[in-house]
Amino acid sequence: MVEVKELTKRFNNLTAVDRISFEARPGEIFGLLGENGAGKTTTLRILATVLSPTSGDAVVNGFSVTREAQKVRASIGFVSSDAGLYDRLTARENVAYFGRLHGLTETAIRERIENAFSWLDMKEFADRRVGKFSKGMKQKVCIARALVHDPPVMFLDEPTAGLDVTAIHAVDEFILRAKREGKTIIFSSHIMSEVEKLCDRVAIIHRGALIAAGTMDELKAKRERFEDVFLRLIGGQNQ
Amino acid sequence: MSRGINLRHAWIVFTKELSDTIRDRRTWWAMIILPIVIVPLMTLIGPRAAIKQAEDVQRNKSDIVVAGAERAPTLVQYLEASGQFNLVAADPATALKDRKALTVIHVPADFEDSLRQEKPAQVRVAFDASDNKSSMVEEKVARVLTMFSQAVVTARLQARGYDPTILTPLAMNFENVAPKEQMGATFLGMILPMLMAMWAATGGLYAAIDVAAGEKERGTLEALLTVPVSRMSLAVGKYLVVVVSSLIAAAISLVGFAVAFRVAPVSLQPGQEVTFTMTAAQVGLIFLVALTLSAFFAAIELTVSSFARGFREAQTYLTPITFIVIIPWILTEFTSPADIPSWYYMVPVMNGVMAFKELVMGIVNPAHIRDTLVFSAIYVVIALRLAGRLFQRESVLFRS
Repeated sequence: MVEVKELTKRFNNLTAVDRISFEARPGEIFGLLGENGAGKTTTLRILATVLSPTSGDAVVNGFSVTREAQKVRASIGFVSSDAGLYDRLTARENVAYFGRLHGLTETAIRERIENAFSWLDMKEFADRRVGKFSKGMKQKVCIARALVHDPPVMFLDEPTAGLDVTAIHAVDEFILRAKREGKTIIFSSHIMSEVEKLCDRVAIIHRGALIAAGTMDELKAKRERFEDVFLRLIGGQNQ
Repeated sequence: MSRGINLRHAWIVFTKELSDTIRDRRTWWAMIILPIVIVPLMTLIGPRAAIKQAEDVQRNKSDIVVAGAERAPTLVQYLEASGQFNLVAADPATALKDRKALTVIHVPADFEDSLRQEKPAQVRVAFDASDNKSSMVEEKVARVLTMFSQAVVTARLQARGYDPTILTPLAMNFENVAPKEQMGATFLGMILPMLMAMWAATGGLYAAIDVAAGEKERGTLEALLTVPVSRMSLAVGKYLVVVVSSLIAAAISLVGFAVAFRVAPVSLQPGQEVTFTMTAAQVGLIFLVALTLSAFFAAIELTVSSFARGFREAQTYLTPITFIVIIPWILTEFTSPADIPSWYYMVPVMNGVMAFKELVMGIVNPAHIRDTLVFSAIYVVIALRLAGRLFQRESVLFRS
């Protein structure tokens, strides 16, 4: 469960996130749809406690991001588009490092890795250094890393950006699997078809503010209210 | 909220960063190859080449020109009999420039007449002071000319019935009381402190850049900040890796130096080899001082690296550190520890370099060691605080 209340983030004079509120429930994929620079990444970073909000709060898995950051961190998995991994470590070592930082025992880490690597189809390159991996392989490692402590909440910041079709399929599979396991998933994208394909409910973010939220059908029904953004996002889909 | 240091977390970060660092080829270069190769090259081979040249000039005949040789048969005969020179036939005007000869002796037309009439014979010796070897040959020529001059004086005195020893009222013997060991210690006291400071500063450089700026550049920092570990614990784990890397480099440079010293002893003068020994306690204290230097540089490097946007920027900011190290060394290189004011031991880096110099020279001054350790610890804590604070600041973590 994620409850976002009047979340605001200002950088100097720029209001990157402007009093955003929404709610995402367990077993639900919640989409954040918006252009690049709309404030999606900043919102997710605040939810993941990487940034702290200027005002407002969010409750993640029952913990406040402003007051109980460590407990929030123990409850979340974060996957972003620019797969950051330690190139000189193997896929297994990259994931195990995060497992240890999450306080898991070595046995638990081994089990989690075996499990995740097998359904992500990564066994073949599990013990190779990630430096020379393709973007798709790297993203699989990032996913395994985000899942190592079996968090109830997942934040996915444009997780398919720059991936090829096969890799996108693998990421979609992972997202649907997490949904079946009852995790709360917040997924950001600037491509409407992608959001439409996966998300149960969607919030459209424009210049830091949430301008509409609901199911895809509901949003389509009242598109006249935010026509500009909507059209541009549809345009993005055709590129 | 995330200020405390959890040692278990710091240890996890440390072991990961250590194995990551060890797999980096650049680390091996900066931490092991350079210290073990450059040190002997710089300190042992360099002076050796100069010594070898001096020995070469002393042992072998040197090419010289006597301009107007036909006018000075006595001198030419003496020079040849000395067995130290090859008298070459070359144009005296260009011989030095063309390096056909290393020294030219110009003899005046009335040379033999002046000798016979017991008037000073004007001899001009030309050499190239910008050419090391030419200067050495000039010294050799001057020695032989002085001997020639003395031989003439002796002959003249004897002709008048005087004993030549009346010209030697003092029979002087100079004795160097410094034991051979102390000479070696002085020599090492000049070179080793700089080496240690240099490796303490540069040995952890790549690790520092990699664990902070590198983490930003690779995009791993964002994920790392989502784990339930305090940022101070992250900073401490990373800091320890930098300290260890720089200590390893410093230790390896010492080992490289010791090995090179054994294999090919240094001579400060031909035929005089420098010898040197250290007690285990000295070595222990030296490593303690090296640790303070490493700890200080590591804290500075991690702070700067945390502040930088990426690898390149960190490298640009940190490269001058190598030069900063040299300053205290230049200031104290030729100073005996006895002449150093005690406040030097309170200045960062300076104190390490000085304490090091004392220890290498076999001086154990508890007050100096105490000041060095206490003040270094203070500086390390300040620098670490700063690094830790930077790790808390969003504007620094996400500078782009």
